[in-house]
Order: sequence, then C-alpha cells, then structure tokens
Amino acid sequence: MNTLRWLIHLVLVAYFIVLAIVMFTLGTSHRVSHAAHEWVWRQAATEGTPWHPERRLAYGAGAILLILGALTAATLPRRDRRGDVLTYSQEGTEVRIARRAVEDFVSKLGKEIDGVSDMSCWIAAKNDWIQVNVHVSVDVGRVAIPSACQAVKATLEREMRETLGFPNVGEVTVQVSRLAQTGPRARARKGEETLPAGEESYSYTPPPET
Amino acid sequence: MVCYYETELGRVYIGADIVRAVIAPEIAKSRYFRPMNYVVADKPEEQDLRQLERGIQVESEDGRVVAKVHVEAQYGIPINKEAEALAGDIRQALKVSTGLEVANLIVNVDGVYPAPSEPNARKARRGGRR
Repeated sequence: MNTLRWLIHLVLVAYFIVLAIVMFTLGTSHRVSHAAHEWVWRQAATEGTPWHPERRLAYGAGAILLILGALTAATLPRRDRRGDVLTYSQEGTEVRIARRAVEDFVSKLGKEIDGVSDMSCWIAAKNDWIQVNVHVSVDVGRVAIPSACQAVKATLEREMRETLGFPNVGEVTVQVSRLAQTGPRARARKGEETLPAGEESYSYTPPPET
Repeated sequence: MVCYYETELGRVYIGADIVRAVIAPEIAKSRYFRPMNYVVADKPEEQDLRQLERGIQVESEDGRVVAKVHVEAQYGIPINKEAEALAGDIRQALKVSTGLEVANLIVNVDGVYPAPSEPNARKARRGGRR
C-alpha cells in the first residue's frame, strides 16, 4: 500500500514538472515570442509593459505547476523514521524489533566478549529468520583471531536465539576489519612494558644486506 | 478512534485516551521496558505519564483494541519473552479495567538501553521478569 502511494506521488510530481517545463518552453518559444515581440515593442512604447498576455499566461501556469509539484513532493509518504523492523508474532501479539535495536544490541554485546571491540553488524531478516554479518576489532595482544571469531560467532548465535528470540538463525559471518592493540605484547612492542619471561616478541629485524 | 463492547443494556464506548491511560502504567511497571528517550523522575508521583502515553498508538477493529506500543528494552534481557509478558500484562489490564478485548497488540522494540551497572546483572536477569 505504501509503495502504491509512493508511485502515485512520484507520477504526480513528474507530471507537474513536465507540464511546468512545457509551459515555460511555450512561454519562451519562438511562436509565442514572435507574436510577443511586436506586441512588446508596441506596448513598451505606449505603456512600458514588457509582458505579452500569452507569455504571462504560460509563465504563470508553469510557476503554478512547479509549486504544485513541490507541494506534492513535500507530501511524499515518509519512511518510518524508526527504521525497518524484524517481526515475529504469536497468537495476536506481535513483537517487532527495530533493526536499529538489533544493531545497538550487537554493539553492546561486542563489549562483553574478551579481546573484541567495536562490533558492528549488517542484518538480513525475514519473518523469524535472521542472518548476521559482523565487523569486529580483535585485540591481537590478548586473543588469537580464530578463537575471537569463534567466540563472536557462538555468542551471536546464542543471543539471537535466546535474547532476541529468532528461532532460525542463518549464517553468522565474522569479518575482522581492524586490529586493536592494547595487550601486553602490543605494549611491549611500543616499549611501554617488558614481556613476561618465555614470551617471544613480535619485533622483526631485517636480515643484514649483503 | 473509539473502542466499544456490547452489553445487555447496549454498547459501551471507550475512547483511545482511556485505553492509552490504562496501557501506560503497565509499561511504567515493567522493569525492562521504557518508552524511547524516557526521563525518569526522582519521585514516582512526579513522573510524567503523558511521556509514557506518547509511544502508544490505539486503533479500533470492530470495537476491539489494536494497540501499538513503542518501547526500548533493557540490554541483556530475553527481549521476546519479556515483550510477550508485557503484552500479556497489557491485555489483562485492558480486560480488567475497561472490559475491552484486544484484537492485536504490537510491541515495537525500537532500541536498547544500557542496564544499570550491577555486578552480574545480565545473568541475574535471565531468571525471571519481576
């Protein structure tokens, strides 16, 4: 229904704009202006009015059509500012969770997983099915990337089922987009801290040139 | 928008404002849901109930209530279960206070707000609602 209203509005806006262009073109066209020229000269000589009635009519109609087009465009049905919703319903009760709420939830969840920060997500959902694609920053000084990804994946799958109530969780994709470096190894690399005995350093010394 | 129900003596009409006023305290009572951008007053008697009613839309379908409630949920709670519990409470309150039947009740969770900082609050809340 909303799409139909959108289409009707768009067609109306396009119609008004095209008509306005036609009217302005008519106003400046040769046929009108040719007749207008003589009239203008005559009129300018006598009364000083440079506007031919035909041209005035065309420009006036064009302006009115433009205003109508703008008004129609201004009343285009707005998208719900609360964003898309992910819905599931049971016996006359419908629970809708806004996409923004899920994104909020995932970003807060990211702070609870060890070694992971800045978790943001992209969601695809239909009815009670959801698929999540997350971008995370992994602190390589604290956890290894594979175990961090595994933890993120498992936590997300569990929380989508238990907390958000989506029974069908599709593929959960984890993408490591940044490396956060706050662990002891990263600090040791920066010279802020010495590594514990037995820990190897990540520093790299290039081989001497021969 | 007026909701109504039939009695032996005739039809009883109840306005949407009344329905909203019945639903709002149920949201206020809920520990895990609150309206969007809700400001909690220092004292309960100073709480602005109109703020609560702002996120409630009421319509009528053959006299029965169709209500849409916009709320944000506390982070860490099982949203689906708590939302269903809230819907059940609202349904019950409407039935008891006004006698109206609910045709459809939509709980729209628009956001998540941080839980109050309690140790192990997240795990503790998993058990029950109130």
